[in-house]
Amino acid sequence: MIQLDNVTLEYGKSTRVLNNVSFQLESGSFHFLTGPSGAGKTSIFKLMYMDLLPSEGNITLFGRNTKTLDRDEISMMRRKMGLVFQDSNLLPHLSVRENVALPLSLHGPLKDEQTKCVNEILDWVGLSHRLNACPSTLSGGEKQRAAIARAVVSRPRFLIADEPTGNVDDEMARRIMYLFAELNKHGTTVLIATHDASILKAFPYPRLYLRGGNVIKKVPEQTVKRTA
Amino acid sequence: MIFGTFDASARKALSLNKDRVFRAFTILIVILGWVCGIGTAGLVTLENVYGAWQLKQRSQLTLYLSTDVTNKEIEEHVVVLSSYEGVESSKVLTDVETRALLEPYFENAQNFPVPKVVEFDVTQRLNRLQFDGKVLELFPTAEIDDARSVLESVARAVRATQGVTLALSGIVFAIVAFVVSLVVRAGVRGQSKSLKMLQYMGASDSFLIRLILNQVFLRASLGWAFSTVIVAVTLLMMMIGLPELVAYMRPSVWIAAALVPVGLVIVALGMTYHTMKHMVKSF
Ligand SMILES: Nc1ncnc2c1ncn2[C@@H]1O[C@H](COP(=O)(O)OP(=O)(O)OP(=O)(O)O)[C@@H](O)[C@H]1O
Ligand SMILES: [Mg+2]
Repeated sequence: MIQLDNVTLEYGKSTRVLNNVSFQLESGSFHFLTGPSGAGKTSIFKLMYMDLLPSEGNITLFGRNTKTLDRDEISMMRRKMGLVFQDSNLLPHLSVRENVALPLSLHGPLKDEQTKCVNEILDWVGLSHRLNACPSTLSGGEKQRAAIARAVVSRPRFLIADEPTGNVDDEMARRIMYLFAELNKHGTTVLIATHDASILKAFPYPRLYLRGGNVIKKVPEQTVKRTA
Repeated sequence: MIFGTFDASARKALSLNKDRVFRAFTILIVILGWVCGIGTAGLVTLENVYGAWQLKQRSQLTLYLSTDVTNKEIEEHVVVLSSYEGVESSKVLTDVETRALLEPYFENAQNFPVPKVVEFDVTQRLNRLQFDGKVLELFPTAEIDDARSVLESVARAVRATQGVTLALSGIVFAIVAFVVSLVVRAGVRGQSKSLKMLQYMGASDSFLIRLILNQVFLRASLGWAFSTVIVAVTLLMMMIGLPELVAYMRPSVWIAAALVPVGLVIVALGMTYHTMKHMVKSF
């Protein structure tokens, strides 16, 4: 479903961030992406949502090589993906509800059930009391939860989340992880970058460990079995 | 909406309304629409006035005959000339009438030997070559005055006025195109982060372009509607102030005055499309 083949990524001529990285995420799988700061986790995500193209090698997404896509095809691919950015990236002039509704609004005015869906997901992440708040008035954790709500509201086929639990307490982190697990049960392929040791311990999904430009796949002894 | 319907969140996400210049854009279209509308109305009215005047001039032909031609000769020859196809009627002016006609041109018309003047009402069907030939054959010293030279100089003046008006309209259109490209560029660049986020969510180029076109369309057509009302009021005031113009303010004047400013809306949309097509690809 998502496959990297000998992917090399260089920023300019001198900085090689990824060196011959190959791995595959099967459809419906759940993986963590870990590694020290600066290892290139965010860079891998950028390659996946096609903000960048690999300097060498290929990335296959939903059966298509990202290098061969035209602009319309890229937008179509992105509509199947949910993105949680490391810095929540909410639009500052939109309310929380409008931010979360945005991915659905690409298809025209929201239908009633879509509006309901927006409210439900905001309820899930514990923001139903801040629906009309402006992002600048939210705490770091609230911003992150709003960004997560925005990423999952369109029920993406592939969810990538960059440090989604970085700013929230353990309790909320766990809730968010359950939300991702729930999506995964319904078929969404999930990739989450995290440093959070307690999360990694509590959710023993397979890990991709990134270091020195290479990826090592680690499968914890007690692997979570997919129930769906 | 002709560019599609959008959810409020999408419209707000990438909105030019935050840009102060864009909010003034409606007023700009109102003012320039008014300039264009009045200019066009003036142009069409002038054309109507000129057309009517031209028709009147063309339909009159005056013969100036020297004083030694006898009245009997005139009477006989005028009958011959009146038989030409296209000559509707003729009239031999009396000395009194001629004096009155020439008064403005001669200080002491009383002392002048008064020429004989014959006026013909003619139509386009008159063959001037044949007619003029016959006139000179019958009255070798006659002068034929058909206002052709006056027509030509007036025509030149009218065309010059129209040229200036058209040039002004061209400038107005250029201003609109320039302002739109500036506003769209600045507005979108100021929200490059929103645009990028929309793209990450899967907004296509065409969606983003339509989103902006929609906003420009709303503003521009609002401006057009306002300017049309103001143009109509101005024209009505002109009709009250200059009643002699009323006859020339035919429906064509009103239609042209309302439609030409639509061109401003079209130019604004075209320029928006052009600018956005480049902008969306640069992010
Ligand atoms: N646009 C850029 N130009 C040059 N270098 C860059 C650029 N973006 C990232 N880098 C470098 O690439 C390396 C990997 O960055 P990346 O953001 O992918 O790391 P990361 O694993 O996400 O780190 P963190 O855990 O701190 O978020 C870093 O050394 C960073 O400085
Ligand atoms: Mg990062």
